[in-house]
Amino acid sequence: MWILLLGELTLFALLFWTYLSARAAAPADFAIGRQALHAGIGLINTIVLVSGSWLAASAVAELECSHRDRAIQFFQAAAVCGLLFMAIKSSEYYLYLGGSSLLLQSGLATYYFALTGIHLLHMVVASILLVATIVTIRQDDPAKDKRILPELSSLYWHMVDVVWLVLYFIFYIC
Amino acid sequence: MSTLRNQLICAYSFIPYSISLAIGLFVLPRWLPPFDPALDPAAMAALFREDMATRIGIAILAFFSPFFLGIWVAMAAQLRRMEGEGHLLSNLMLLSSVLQIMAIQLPCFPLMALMFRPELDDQLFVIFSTTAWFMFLGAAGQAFIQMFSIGLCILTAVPDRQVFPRWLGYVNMLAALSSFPGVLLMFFKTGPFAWNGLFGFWVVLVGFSIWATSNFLCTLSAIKTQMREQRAALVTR
Repeated sequence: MWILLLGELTLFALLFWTYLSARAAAPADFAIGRQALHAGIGLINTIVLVSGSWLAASAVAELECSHRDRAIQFFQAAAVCGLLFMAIKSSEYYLYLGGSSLLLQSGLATYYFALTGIHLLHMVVASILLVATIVTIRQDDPAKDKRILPELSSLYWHMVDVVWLVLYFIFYIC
Repeated sequence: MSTLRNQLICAYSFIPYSISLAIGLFVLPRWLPPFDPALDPAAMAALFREDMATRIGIAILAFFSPFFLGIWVAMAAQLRRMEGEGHLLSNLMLLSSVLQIMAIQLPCFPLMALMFRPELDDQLFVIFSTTAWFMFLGAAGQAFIQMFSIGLCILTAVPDRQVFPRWLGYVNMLAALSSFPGVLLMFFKTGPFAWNGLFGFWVVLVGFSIWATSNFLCTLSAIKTQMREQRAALVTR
């Protein structure tokens, strides 16, 4: 599973480098677009994702203590965090695309929508992995190794969370 | 045993396919990377008009692209050993591979038609070459389904049916998730997401090469292992 996680991090590192290079070449233009971004919405999304990470990690800890029902509840709560993130992000996109936003007039727009859009797709995958984990734990099939999927879905969530923290920093803060 | 020999022949068709893809799409037309999407119509049309090397390259690509089927048919046969009843994921993988091959082969024919009729308007060269690159590099949906179905089949197999190594499942999942940026080339004429940019071309090329080669080598290994097991079973009888 480390091939998947490290490969994804490498891809996102390339994306970050591409964005930062473009920003360094046109700092004034990107600064105009940056003003249009709502840092508060970014902060809410960060809290949602970090909470989801904590819930996923707690779920894995409960599973290791064989507290199956509590683990399922924690995974369900993490999946809700995923849905919440997607809803907030979609609303934010609608906000920026709906009017003559400063963002759309700057070079920042293409990189913002491309990078956060790719991240959003990975959030969808992370949420689907959580749902698959819940289903697998409930099935309780003795033929299957029940450790792999919960660990994978939790680690994948953490990876997506780390990527978001970098995106939040480079788009909303810095 | 003859079935396994046929699987081996099918798998090895990956080699002529890879060579023809390299020669037909990159070497002869000198499209490594592809030409600039922001070129004006006259300059873009000039790349095709009276260029025999490009014409031959596209003809090679049109003929050899269906050879890509062989490896996926062989891999599907091995995946079925892991799936058990139903063969849903292996069938899904095969069908999506057909869509992938069509995305490479179909754009070749309008390009050949244009090069057959060089007197046609520049704008026709623009629209058909644009469509061709969108299909060569941007047909990410079928690639995603193919990669995802292979990955899912491998990663959800029960341990005593593990024909392919689990790391190959993760490679396929990584390739599937990495196909998302490929769609962006339809929105950018310049920069890293354009069809001649870092993500539009180079990441797609390197990722596709690693993915296809990994699947090819593991399929060969699986077929040869099964051949050895069958020979051993015959000997012990």
